[in-house]
Amino acid sequence: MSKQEIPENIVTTKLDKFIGWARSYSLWQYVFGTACCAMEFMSVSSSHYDTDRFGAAMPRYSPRQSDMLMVVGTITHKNAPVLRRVWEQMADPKYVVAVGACAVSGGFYKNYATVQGCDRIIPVDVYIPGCPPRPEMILDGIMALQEKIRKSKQYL
Amino acid sequence: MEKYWLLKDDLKDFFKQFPTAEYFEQFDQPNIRVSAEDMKKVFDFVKNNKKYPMDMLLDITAVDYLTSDYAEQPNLTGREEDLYSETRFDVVYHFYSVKTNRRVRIFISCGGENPEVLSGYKWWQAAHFLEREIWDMFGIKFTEHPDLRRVLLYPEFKGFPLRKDFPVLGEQPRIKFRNPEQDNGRN
Repeated sequence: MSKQEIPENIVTTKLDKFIGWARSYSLWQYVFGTACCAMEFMSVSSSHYDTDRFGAAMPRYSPRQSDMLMVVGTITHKNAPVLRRVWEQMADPKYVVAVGACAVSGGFYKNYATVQGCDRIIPVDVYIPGCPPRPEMILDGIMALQEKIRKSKQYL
Repeated sequence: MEKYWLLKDDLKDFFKQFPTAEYFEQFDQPNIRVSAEDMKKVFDFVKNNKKYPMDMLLDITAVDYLTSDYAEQPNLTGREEDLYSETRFDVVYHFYSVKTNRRVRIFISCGGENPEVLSGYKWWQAAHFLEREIWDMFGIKFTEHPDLRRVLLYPEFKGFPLRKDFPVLGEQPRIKFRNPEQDNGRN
């Protein structure tokens, strides 16, 4: 097909790339905030740092409507079935981001009450370390997830 | 200090009534140790005292005097006696008199295979949740408590985590764990 046959205002791409582009900029999030990292997350999502710039501005507090589960804080054994159930209720495609040392590895709570990392319950896409992580690190984590979504095969 | 605590002089009536009670000081603060048989009378006396009525229960806590390395080395000699010692635990009551702004602290020791003390619920209703927490963490039973259940941990939890013989990582998961090293797929 020669260049003259396609009008100037049409762009060609692959279906995977196009869907990935669309999905990466409309990440509606379910914030599973259980501890002090959730305070940090409030400042990230509000206007000073503003996750809206990355298309992740809509906390949905309903797992059915959200694409990205953010585990923000310590997960205890008492709370683990709740987190698992929230993840199971989310519709595909779904992504999980573990924010903070406790969600990543249990942090300094090496005891009987804390789950040693939320990846022992649900699969995690992006890990953001820190106690708590700086807002820039959370934004960096969201950008890393966007990069991952854009590069992966899209299932419809 | 004399503004906030009941001193030995203020406690003369108390020691006349309970001659077996023991007085000792820690960090310049007065403490009383009473025996478990006297508890009913002690509660009556402390609550209904004319001069210093302790109408408020500030806190109940407990202490485990088992050596803290028990969980790592349970097989040392003499450990069995420590485990079921009659003075292994202390239950500590903190009382406050609103009218006179005075505090008093009362220790009761307990132990054995099933440590038991009398519940203070009949005298102070605040004891309800505080005693449930002690039961949850230390496994000290409060007799005559109306509803002694776990309060912070889940009901199927076995053992008492704040006891010194409880292992540090005594995890009791409620759901099956996935293996993050093997299950990298979406499950």
